[in-house]
Amino acid sequence: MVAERKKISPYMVWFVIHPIQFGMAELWFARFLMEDAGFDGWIGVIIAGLAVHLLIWLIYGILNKGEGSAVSIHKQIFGKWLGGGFSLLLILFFVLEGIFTLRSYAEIIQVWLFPGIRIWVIGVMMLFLVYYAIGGGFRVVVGVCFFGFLIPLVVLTGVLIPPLHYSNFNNMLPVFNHPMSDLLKAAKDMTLGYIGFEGLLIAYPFVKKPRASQKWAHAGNLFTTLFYLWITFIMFSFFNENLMERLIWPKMNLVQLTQLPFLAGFQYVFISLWMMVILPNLTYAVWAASRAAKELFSVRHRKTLAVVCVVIFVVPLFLSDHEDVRELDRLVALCGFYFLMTYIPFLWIAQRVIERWRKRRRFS
Amino acid sequence: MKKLWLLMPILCCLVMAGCVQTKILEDILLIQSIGYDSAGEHLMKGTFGYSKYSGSKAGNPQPFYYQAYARTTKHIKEEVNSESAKPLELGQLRLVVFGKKRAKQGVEHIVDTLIRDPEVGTNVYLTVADGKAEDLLTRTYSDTTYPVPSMYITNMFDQNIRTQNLPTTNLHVFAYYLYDKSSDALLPLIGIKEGHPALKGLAFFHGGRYVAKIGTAGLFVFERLYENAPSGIFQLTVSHKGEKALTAVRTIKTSRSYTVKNAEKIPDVTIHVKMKAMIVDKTDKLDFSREETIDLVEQTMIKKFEKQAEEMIRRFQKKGIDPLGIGSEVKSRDRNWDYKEWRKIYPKIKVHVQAKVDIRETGAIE
Repeated sequence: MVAERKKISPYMVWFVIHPIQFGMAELWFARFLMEDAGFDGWIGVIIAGLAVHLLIWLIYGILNKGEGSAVSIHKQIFGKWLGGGFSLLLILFFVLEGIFTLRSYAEIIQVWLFPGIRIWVIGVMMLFLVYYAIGGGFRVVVGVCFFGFLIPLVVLTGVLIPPLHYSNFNNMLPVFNHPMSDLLKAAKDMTLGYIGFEGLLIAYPFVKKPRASQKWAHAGNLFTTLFYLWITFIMFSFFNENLMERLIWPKMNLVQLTQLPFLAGFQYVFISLWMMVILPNLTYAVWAASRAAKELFSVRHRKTLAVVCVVIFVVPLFLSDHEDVRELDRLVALCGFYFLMTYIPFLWIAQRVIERWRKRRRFS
Repeated sequence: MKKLWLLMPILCCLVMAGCVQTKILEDILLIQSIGYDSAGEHLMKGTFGYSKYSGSKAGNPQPFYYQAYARTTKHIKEEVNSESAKPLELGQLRLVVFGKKRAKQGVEHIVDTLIRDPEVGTNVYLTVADGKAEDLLTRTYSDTTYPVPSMYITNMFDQNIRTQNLPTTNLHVFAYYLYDKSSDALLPLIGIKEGHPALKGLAFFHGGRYVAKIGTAGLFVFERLYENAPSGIFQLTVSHKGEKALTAVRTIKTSRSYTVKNAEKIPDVTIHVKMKAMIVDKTDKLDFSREETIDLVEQTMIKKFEKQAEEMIRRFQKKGIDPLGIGSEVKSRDRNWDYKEWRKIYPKIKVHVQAKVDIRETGAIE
């Protein structure tokens, strides 16, 4: 059982869901949408958002019934070994998310800020912060999420205004000029933008009156969807398809347009502050992985935390160039999509079927 | 003891902050302008302009430049680096000038390198020199407010875009239209007039090559067809009962819209231009009431504007360039828009211009 003083209020779930979804992918997702479905890609954002709403609903269905974290629910349903296997997969997925976040942020720094910087330097700095935050407990993790939401929203949303001067909303006309299959493909490529919400599976026991927090989780996801939609509109009106095809991080080229009287290149500030955006991603991934591992192996949290940090620190060192990073993105997106789209509905069904089966056996 | 352990990583971070190569302002050479000229079929001549701020002498910074020949833009930079005492940095780049010949050979790969370089901002001005780029960048405009060429030219562009008839332009806008299939790119064309740079019109590109131009006389009409332009002055002669008078009208606000009929086959395009304006100059020969004058000026202006605009568009069609983006307007209304098909029909389609002038004020004089 989690002590009452370690729990968070239901509405704080809002400040958890949005920041852990919103992350690195924002810098390039518009390009993927464009490649799949041209400038109809924004419809994919909506489809993906709705799908995630459904998944959140399923997650709450599972958790409300099981009344515990995913690890304990796995054990309830599948027993010690099979359930443990599922928990391990979930942990691995969180670790993968952490690796992805750290490595792609390091790449941005290497390309846009310091070409000579080593990955391990960034890794040590970030993971030290993460370790320190998680050492303070779950409430501090949520605090990181809260400021990772507030600071970027106040400081970095401004970069979306200067491009409006060059916007050409005609780009997106005519609407619905792509077949449904393309739109679904675009929605699938939004996976990287939405993953993170599955962290609820671990955080559930830490929420006071967890049933009441469901509406806040949905609200958080709705906010993410609308935010992505807004960014997509701005990106699609600012670039045309052939130009966007050439850019790896279209958002960064858009940021370059912002100039302040005392600062010619806002991108330097942007990338530095972007750390506040990815810190929740990383902190939360590490926390969820280490916390689930603690529950699974019944060891002290500090031990699993150290192991997870070391893994997330070491793996990026072997991904040296842009191609490797792209491979990693693709892997995370693919795993994320198939894992979440099959695993969560499967768990939901399995929980109900097995419960009914057990009830029947008890009566007979 | 435990606290000491916590301090270690912090110390570590502080030490590591020194690992990255730093760029201190005094130790780098901030390039402000680059000129690219053609030197033979493959070779380019690059001019890198920068300015020196002398500490002792008060007053304006003085312009200097380096020049080098090479085949690629980055190679030119390297060549210049090899003769410079400080490393070149492009973080403060404001202006890129293409020589006329270079522009005719194509600029796409230069633009590509500019976008690729994260240091170069997207609001760098690009322009075509009516002659050689180096002529513009190697001079000192000592008797003007801005003796440094890059500062002179960028300020000239700034104010012309804001208050006159120069279309919005910068690296992003140029790249946008350069890579856009449904419209063509344009850049300001500049030359030297009485020892200082001057706007000479617009240079139009197709497929990355400079193919056509218009002079400053066409700027007013072009700008109104191209975007929702700010103010600009249009001169016209009105005639009334055999008497002629020269007047000038300043537009305050312009908005334009397109209607496209039959977009799927052979489109029939109409560009509507609505102008709110005021009379700023009138030689007082004509003598009639205020309403009549306004009416007459409005009608004359509409006729003249429409005629000039349609002539200009016909010229574009003949040359096969589409700087106004008529293609993108048709594309946004046609589900099966195809680039090759569009190129074929573009010179043949009908484009009409319908102007509407609304004169609101006549200045401080009745």
